[in-house]
Amino acid sequence: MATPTTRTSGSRLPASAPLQSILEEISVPMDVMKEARRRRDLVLEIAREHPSVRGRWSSGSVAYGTANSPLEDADGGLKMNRRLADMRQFGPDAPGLGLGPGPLMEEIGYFVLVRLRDRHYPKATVDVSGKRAIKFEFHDTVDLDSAGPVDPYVDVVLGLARPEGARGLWIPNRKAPGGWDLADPAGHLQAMNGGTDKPLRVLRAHVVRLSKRTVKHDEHPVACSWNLCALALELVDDADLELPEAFARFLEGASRLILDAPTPDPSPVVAPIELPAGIPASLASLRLEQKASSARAAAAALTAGGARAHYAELFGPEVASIRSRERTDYLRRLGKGTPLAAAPSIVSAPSEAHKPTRSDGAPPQAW
Amino acid sequence: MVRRRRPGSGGRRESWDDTAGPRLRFEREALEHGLAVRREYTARPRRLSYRIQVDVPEFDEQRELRIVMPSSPIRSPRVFVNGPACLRHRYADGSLCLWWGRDDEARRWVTRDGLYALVQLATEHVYCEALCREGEAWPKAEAPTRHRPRCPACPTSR
Repeated sequence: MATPTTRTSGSRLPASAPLQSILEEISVPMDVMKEARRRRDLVLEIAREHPSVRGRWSSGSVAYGTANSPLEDADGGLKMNRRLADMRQFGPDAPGLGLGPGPLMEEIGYFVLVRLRDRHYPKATVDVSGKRAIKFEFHDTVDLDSAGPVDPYVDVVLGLARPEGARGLWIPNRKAPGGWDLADPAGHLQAMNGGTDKPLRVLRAHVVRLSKRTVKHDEHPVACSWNLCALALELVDDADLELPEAFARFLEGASRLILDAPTPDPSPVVAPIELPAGIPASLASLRLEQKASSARAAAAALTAGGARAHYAELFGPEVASIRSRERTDYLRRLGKGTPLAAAPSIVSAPSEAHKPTRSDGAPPQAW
Repeated sequence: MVRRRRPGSGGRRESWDDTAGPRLRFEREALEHGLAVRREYTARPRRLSYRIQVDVPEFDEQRELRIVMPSSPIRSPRVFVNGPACLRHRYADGSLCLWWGRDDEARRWVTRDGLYALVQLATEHVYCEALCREGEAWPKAEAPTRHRPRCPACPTSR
């Protein structure tokens, strides 16, 4: 008679370990993060020497803690002083026909570039033709032990304050009529980083990072990063959930909400977040539902290996990379006669190593 | 009343796997590590066997080990696994050749090592078989016994 025994390894889901390893696989090495932040801060500090600049802000994934590897850039912004006579002519609410952002982006871009070249990066370049941001490239590769050669660039957005008391800023959008959009970087930063307790912020950031990565793997991504952040603010609200469960629930909820209506921006002054061009809501919802199905199956798996097999449907390249490293490690251990038992992913938690045995050969009669 | 067994009266001979104490000691570490262990007894001959789900490292395949315990602790258990085989490292009955019986105890599983160590050895063996099927050389030390250079089950020998 069979006697089933219960699992005694505690309450952690078997899917937790493989999902954590995927999170580590896509994490930005701290050295790279520091270098990106340092460059962003340098650009913003130089820009503050310009008489029209009144303040600065940090934004984007580096500021929100939702960056994935490879990290290519860090984002920041500059608040312009509209009390100066030169500045009053810019913006959609300027008297008469307000000027677009082009001349202002050129002015600040080249102001920073000259000083950046003089002081730190002689090969630096600037691109002021972007839709929203001034892009500073440094052409100075840094070889970091943890990540190899990196050369992160910095995107800077200019912001015009609105009339006294009104929330938000006008930021460039060269493709929009008039050339400006309403944005609320301070509100976004507060929504992502303020208010809630750290465990919930960390869980939310992890869910966003995983979602960004799996969405990015699609040939036609069905949601932008900020849409996923906004959905996570709405859907990830229980810090007690384990990551696999929170991730599956998020994808299920995102699939539902995205079908209903465009995601409201966390800031009341900013328009709802549109889906990428050419992606209907039904397609976005269906794709997220498919991903939710894999995430749900992984969260329900009885073993770590079973969970990882499902996660491979969402994070194919990452799981392949992890498996490749594991093989190298296992082969090294087996070649040295060190049992695999000391490797973390085998069977269960590592125990003291078992004996390094020698495989017997099959006797001739076996053939 | 104490019932005494008369000499030569027969009766079922007790084996180590019938008694709870040694058996629980044998299983303890496996249970502590949360392995899903199913215990079974075969009728004739009466033998304790285990069915245990394991993951093949790296490949994330799930396999079921069937470990048939011997009548006596001084004999070796036989370990079987479902799924594709690498016949180069199997005995005639399909069980896994986990160690060489002539090696000393430092390189050979013995009963007091427990069920968990046996499961680890078997999982390691199944991993080696999976590598072998991909065309890799057998990655573990082999006993100086006769090994067929290639296995008919391997894709490389077709």
